[in-house]
Amino acid sequence: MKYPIELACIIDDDDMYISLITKVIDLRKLSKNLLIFRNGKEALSYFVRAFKRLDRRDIPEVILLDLNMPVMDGWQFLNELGKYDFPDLSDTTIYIVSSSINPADLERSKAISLVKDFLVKPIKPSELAEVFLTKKVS
Amino acid sequence: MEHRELFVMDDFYYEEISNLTGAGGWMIDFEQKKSYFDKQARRILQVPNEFVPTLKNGYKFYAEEDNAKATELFFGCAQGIAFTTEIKMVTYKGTVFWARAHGKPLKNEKGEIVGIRGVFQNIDKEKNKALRLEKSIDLIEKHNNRLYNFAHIVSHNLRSHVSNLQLTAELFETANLNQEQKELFDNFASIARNLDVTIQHLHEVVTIQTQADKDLETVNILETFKHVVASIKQIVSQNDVDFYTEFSEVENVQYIHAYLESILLNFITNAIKYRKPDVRPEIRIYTYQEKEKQYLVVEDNGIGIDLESHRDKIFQLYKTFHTNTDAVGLGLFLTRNQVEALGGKVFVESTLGKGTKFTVQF
Repeated sequence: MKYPIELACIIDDDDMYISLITKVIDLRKLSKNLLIFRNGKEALSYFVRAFKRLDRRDIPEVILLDLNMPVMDGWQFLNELGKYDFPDLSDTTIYIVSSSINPADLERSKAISLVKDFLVKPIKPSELAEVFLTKKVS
Repeated sequence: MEHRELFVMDDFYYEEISNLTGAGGWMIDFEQKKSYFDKQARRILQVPNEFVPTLKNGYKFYAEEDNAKATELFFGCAQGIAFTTEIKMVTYKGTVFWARAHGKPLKNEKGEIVGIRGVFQNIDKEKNKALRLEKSIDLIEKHNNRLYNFAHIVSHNLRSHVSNLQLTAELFETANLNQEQKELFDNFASIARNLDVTIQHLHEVVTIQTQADKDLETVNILETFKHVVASIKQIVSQNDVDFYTEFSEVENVQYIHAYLESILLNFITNAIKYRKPDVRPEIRIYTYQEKEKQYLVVEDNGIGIDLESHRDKIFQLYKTFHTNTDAVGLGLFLTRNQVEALGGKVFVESTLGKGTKFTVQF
């Protein structure tokens, strides 16, 4: 079985959401492996280590990033990650996946070049599939 | 002689002004080591006739918490610094009141400071009114903040649950269910959907005010109209709607772009939704200016609204006065809130069977 992508990453503090998204990814066979972090800080320390090791296999092709999280939220994570200016980051597509329907959040995300798109929860299984499949084509 | 007359006039004016303003005079004479209160000051401070003010008992007329402040001002004044302040004072009988007080150094011919003198006025009513107003503004601000936080909670916390609910419904395998279970499950899915819509509405309503604080921009009405019609192209052509527009009198308004768009969208979709089934819908949209005020009118030839029994309800949340199943009752509520958040008004005229006319005063 061929998977559209090898490694995807979810950064979200909502366990229920993680288990549902994991189910969708498994059922539709969207990604071979899945990295899960419960907040921005956990994710950031992983990425800093992974980029330094320079092992491409450690770098997810797609990141689904929540905004409101404890310890380090999505905005802070993007801000911190941006500071490192990792060249390999250009192969990683970051999507914000948030339940916020606040237009201010959408505007703010547009100003961040690291972010490809803003997806509003609930994310439909078909929408999710599209995110993973377009990644493969590009 | 002339001099003497003037002096008498001065006394007269002094007394009248003192009566009118309720301001009393005081003086401290450093050389004689004596303090004086004039008639009005005695009245304000409720001192008995035989009371003799001294430097020592003077501080008793200031509220305890303002005693240090009074001492500082008096010492400063004795060094030559005049003051104007608002201070809490206490009458002889113990009533606390707010006073506005002025003080100036008193100099002899050589320019030496020999005392201080000034006037004070009971401003308790005004001051308390101002304080109450300040408190209300503070309270309103707090309420507003709470409302904003509430919008945030609605937007995030509630929505994450609803979105999980919807996703669960989506993933649920219905193939093996029997008919009854399937029907129940369909209910579950539609409840999740409705909940999502309701929360979205709530969010829109709550965010209107926070949006209204944004800067106004020059909004072109024709452009906005075109944009709105393009966004509902399908319903417009399905219903074969005839638009008549005339925006020459007022072409632009200082507004929030998204609001004008939402206002036009709500009026137009409203007009189409409540069209007469057998008559081609005509919608007239025009602007005009009257007495410095700008107006936007949206007029239709639809079924109309019975204003006699619905006037109060028409702009309320979730009040629908038609039996159409897709009448949600949010649009007009939002419209009025948006218009009013920017200081305008919405009017409605309607005749059953003839049509409806909405007017926005910007």
